[in-house]
Amino acid sequence: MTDALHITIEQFDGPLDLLLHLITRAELRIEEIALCEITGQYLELMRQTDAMDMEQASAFLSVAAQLLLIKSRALLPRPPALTEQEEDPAQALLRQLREYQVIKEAAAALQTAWEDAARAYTRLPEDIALPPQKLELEDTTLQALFAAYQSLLGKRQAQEETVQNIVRRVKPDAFTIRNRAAHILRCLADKKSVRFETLFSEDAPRMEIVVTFLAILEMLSRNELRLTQAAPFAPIFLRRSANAQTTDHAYMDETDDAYD
Amino acid sequence: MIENRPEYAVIECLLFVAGDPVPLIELARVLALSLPQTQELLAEMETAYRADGRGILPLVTDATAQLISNRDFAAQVEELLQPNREKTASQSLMETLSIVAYRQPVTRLEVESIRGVRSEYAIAQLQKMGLIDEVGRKEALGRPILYGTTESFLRKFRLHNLSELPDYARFAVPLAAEEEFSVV
Repeated sequence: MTDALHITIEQFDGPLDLLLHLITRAELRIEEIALCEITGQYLELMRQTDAMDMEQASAFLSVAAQLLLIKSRALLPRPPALTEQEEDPAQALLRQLREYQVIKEAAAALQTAWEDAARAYTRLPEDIALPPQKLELEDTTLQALFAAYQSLLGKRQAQEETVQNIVRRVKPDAFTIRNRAAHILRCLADKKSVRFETLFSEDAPRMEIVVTFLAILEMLSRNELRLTQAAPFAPIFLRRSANAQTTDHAYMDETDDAYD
Repeated sequence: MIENRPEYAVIECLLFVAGDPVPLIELARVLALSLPQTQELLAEMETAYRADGRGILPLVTDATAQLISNRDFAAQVEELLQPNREKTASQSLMETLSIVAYRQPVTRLEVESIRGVRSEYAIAQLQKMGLIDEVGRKEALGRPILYGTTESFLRKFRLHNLSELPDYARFAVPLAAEEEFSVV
């Protein structure tokens, strides 16, 4: 392969772009190409590329698979005729390629149009507030109504974003690992063991469940608790472990101090 | 000789002061005209201004009007002011944009099936740029979001409507649809 022909997959905006390039390079039109002929080149290019991000690679691989299917159909004895619904994979891929080629041309045309349009300039808006307007619904269109609604939303948002409103009250967390740990110890105070489920109040909010669970994990890791379960899905029981000493759970969440 | 109507001066003045695109309904209100009358007036004004080779022209879409400079004098503007050339978009954005522009309304899946690559990022990016937006839901499995171009897309491309897109007739028809028709 000469230098002039040296290409890498990264230059292309997807597998169809690459296929299109290979077809043009062979100086063929889409209608004339036997896809088998460029399958080898396509696969060779993929082989040369050692690093590709997964998302990109999957798109390229999917087209490689289509090419191989087409090639294998061409090489092997004719399979039974296709049913009417089933499109010949070569035809399907060629149609996709033609469609893509049209869009690529459209994209180029749009690009030119954009560059050309950018040569006409506009002024920045004047910073003059419009006087309040009377509501006039005659002759209005749905679009105009919607535009009015949108601008109202914009105004509202701008108001809400003023400094006073940015200051919000932050509520202290109702459930902390510390108070849940204390709760667990209280439950265990006069009993040898408790069932896991009894640690939660009825209709416990999600936060309570999550934080209680975290507290159990924390206490387990500190060897303050032991869990027993007779069999999978059997009830889980909590016990204090023999060597549990600490009753001070301040270590558990330092941020708690802020609310004390 | 093109008639130079007094209303042109008012419109020119209003659009000059506003700078931003002015909703046609607002213009109509100030001019004390109906919306269709305003649209007609603006169309005439644009034709007249173009014919006169004026330095500023009204750009009128279905919803708004705005004054833009005549791009015939872009070279001189750039000589005087060296404005920042607006960057256009990458190939993948342009492909996605042209699919949405010419084939709208389309779903993300339809975009991806034409491009052969995932297009989430491109769509999100174009949406952020205000060039495309959700225009509804397709009555298909999962009710996927349909995308279309926006009013600001038209203005960015200095178009009055979509049919002025380059080669609209050729690019707007999907090949698949053509073939399906011939089968039926």
